[in-house]
Amino acid sequence: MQADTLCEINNLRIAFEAHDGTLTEAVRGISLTLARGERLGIVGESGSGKSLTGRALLGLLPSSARWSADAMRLDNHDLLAMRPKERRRLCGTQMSMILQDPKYSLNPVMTVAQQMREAFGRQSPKLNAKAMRERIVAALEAVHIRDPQRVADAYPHELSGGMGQRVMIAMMVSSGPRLLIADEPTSALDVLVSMQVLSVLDEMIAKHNTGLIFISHDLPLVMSFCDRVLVMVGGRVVETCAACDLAHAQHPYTRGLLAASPPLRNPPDELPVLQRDPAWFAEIAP
Amino acid sequence: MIEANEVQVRFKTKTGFADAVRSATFHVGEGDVFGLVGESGSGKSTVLRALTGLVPIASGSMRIGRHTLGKHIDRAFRREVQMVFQDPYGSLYPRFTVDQTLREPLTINGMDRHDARILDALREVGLGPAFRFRYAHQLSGGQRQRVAIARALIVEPRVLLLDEPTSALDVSVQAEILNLLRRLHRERHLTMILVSHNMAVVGFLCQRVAVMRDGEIVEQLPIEAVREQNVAHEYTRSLLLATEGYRRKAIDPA
Repeated sequence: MQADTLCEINNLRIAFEAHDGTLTEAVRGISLTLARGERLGIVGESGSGKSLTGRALLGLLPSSARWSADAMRLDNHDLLAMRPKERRRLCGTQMSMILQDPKYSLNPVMTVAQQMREAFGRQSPKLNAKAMRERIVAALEAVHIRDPQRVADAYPHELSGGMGQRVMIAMMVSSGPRLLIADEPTSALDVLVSMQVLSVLDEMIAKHNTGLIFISHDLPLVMSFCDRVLVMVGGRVVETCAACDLAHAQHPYTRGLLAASPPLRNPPDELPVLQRDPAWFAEIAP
Repeated sequence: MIEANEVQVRFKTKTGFADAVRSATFHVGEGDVFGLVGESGSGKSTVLRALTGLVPIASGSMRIGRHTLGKHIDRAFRREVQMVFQDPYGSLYPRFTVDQTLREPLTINGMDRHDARILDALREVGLGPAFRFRYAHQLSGGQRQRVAIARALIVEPRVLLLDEPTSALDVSVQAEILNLLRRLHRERHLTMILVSHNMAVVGFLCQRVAVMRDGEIVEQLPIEAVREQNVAHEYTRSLLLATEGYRRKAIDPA
């Protein structure tokens, strides 16, 4: 492991057992490394195993998953050898995750302030009520919520999707974790808000030198936000390249994804549709 | 075909009223595709919901075809105006098969030849007859959205309202759905309103675009102007800029 490596996964495999006992592999031998302060984008369609890879790092895989890995480490912690209790302690302080859908990831029966208090209480248990409130409001303000006092006392159902996601980001990013896994953090948001949210993320990551794993299916976004990109299909990495070179990607899958997003200027009469090659999903690597 | 005049929608809140839509005026011609863009909370979905009668309007008037929206909405109107919702995971009833999902609107509207119509509708959205007896959880996101579109089209509406039909889908699937919508528009001569926050999606389907912000329409312009980035309002420009991807350290927070 090199000195500036923040996180490393080697040969991660995740499979799910069907009712009849057969195993379906969702992730088939993924290896990746992330340097300190680096932004790694993982792109792929739904079902390509990109979210599972992120969850495996945090130890959040569903109990039905059968998984194995040759190595998985964060900084100098060996995540495989760690006791579950110690590993959980890392979550929320050293590494956090921003989930895809704020509708499911926020607790519907707690106000925003209540659940943020829970998250911040882990990081700094000695804060008194007034200081805690100030911190919550400041964190909400940092993610460009117009009326933080009102939002703090609102329930998640009273917020729009964009606001919910910003609350989620406020909760996770303001502690300044070493590793942040953002699982489609902006796919539920509109373009403008996602730009603002990304600029907040950008700011926070630069400030704390946080390593970011950015999981998304939006290629233009990943191209412009990340340093390096992994393209996943069928549980495998088919291509790794610098983000700026993604436009000249070689793999037909990557090229197909690029062509499928409608261009603003002179859109074609019909968009080219991705042709899926069965070999990408085969049991043995092509 | 669709006319909205000084429409206002207000919701009651703890501290009084919140105006979700303020004096929205727009006009959509027969067979046109009209785009509504704006950030979340700008009231674009509320305009659509008001058009279907799902939310009451506080003042102003709305007219679709020969129907004026009022307290009472008759069945003919409901049949003519159909809506496709954003999230195909939430908008299909999980305990219905595709067949039941498509049969219900036929029964409600007292239409004949159920089986033939269901098969036609499935074929039209590019799903084979094999999908007919599946449940929603046995379909992928794109297939579900196709079922939702089939459900809207099966009653032969003249107006199709699309509330972010592709924002929950992957780009590759989005391309398929956009192609489908474009083909349906061409073949059926439907009048459509597309709500989206993605300028590129709107640019692909629509002829005219209205930009909404904080419940107000700030700009209405033809799509050619959008494609050439020839826009007057600052807000529209920032939307266009955002569509091109993130610029590191270049966006100043609002």
